[in-house]
Amino acid sequence: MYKWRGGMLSWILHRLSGVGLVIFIIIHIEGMYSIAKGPKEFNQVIAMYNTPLFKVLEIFLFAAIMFHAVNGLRVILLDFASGSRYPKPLLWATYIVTGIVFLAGAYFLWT
Amino acid sequence: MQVTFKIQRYNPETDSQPHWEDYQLDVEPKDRILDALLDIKRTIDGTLTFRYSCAHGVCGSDAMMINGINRLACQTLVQDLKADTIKVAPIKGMDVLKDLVTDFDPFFEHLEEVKPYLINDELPPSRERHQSIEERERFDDTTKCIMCGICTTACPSFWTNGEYIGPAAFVNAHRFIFDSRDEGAQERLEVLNDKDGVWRCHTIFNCTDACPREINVTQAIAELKNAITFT
Repeated sequence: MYKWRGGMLSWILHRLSGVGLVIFIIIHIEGMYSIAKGPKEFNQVIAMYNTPLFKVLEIFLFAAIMFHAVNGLRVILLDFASGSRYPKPLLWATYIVTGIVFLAGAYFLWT
Repeated sequence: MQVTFKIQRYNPETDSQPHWEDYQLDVEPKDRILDALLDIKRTIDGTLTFRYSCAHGVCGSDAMMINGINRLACQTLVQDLKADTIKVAPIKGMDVLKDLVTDFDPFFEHLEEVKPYLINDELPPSRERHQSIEERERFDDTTKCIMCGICTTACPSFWTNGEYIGPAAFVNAHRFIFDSRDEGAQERLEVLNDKDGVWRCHTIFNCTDACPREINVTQAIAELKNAITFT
């Protein structure tokens, strides 16, 4: 087994969050479709979205979006802006920026 | 100091699967892993098989996975590992021929694909082809490659797809593409732009972390991606 380093971890998280976002889009499209069916279905879907389970899922979704977006910017910098000369600072910056934005956003989502 | 060496063994004539064997050895902290392997071969088990040639980090023959990271056995000291159990396995992604010896043929085939030699149809001037210090500096980092295969076999993209041309070949392509005396950049970039070319690099940095010559492989690949995109 090859030892995990920072770059490998963020690559795996990028892939996992990407797959997670695809699954979200499917659920989201299904939700939008159901809402359009009529007032009864609309209320049902909104009630489901307000359950604690969906709140938690929403926070996970936000984490996945933030990491995928910030890490995506990091990869662009690595590939096209000489970022590969500074891999460690960029990796730390990715985790710190993701962490700060996530915590701030998660607070608003939860309250 | 007493160290346990866990070594992955495989004899194609008797084994169907590789297995691990333990060897207890008394070593000095400043011994190299290569010294320890030679010691095991001389005093415990003469059938232990591995490659080495210069034993000084120049030929690149003794690349192996030591405690989970690709390294040259001749450049790794026991004290560097800070462990009393040292696991030695063949580098990943290549067929194992015996014990720690892997099949490098596909590796060198990928290397040939990128034409790692000077391409210039013009006759050379009466003396050498001139190059400024700045022009030489442009590809200095990638001239250091010893083709040990450590970068390519540290790369998850290569583990999952043996057709991937791989970081070592990219490094050697970089060495000629950015050489002012060379005129083969375009044909090499076409090879690198293939589906098994540079775009399978996901900037994981295993190659750069492991390179025993400290080449910034990921940066070299990024420069190739830029060359393909913007020229």
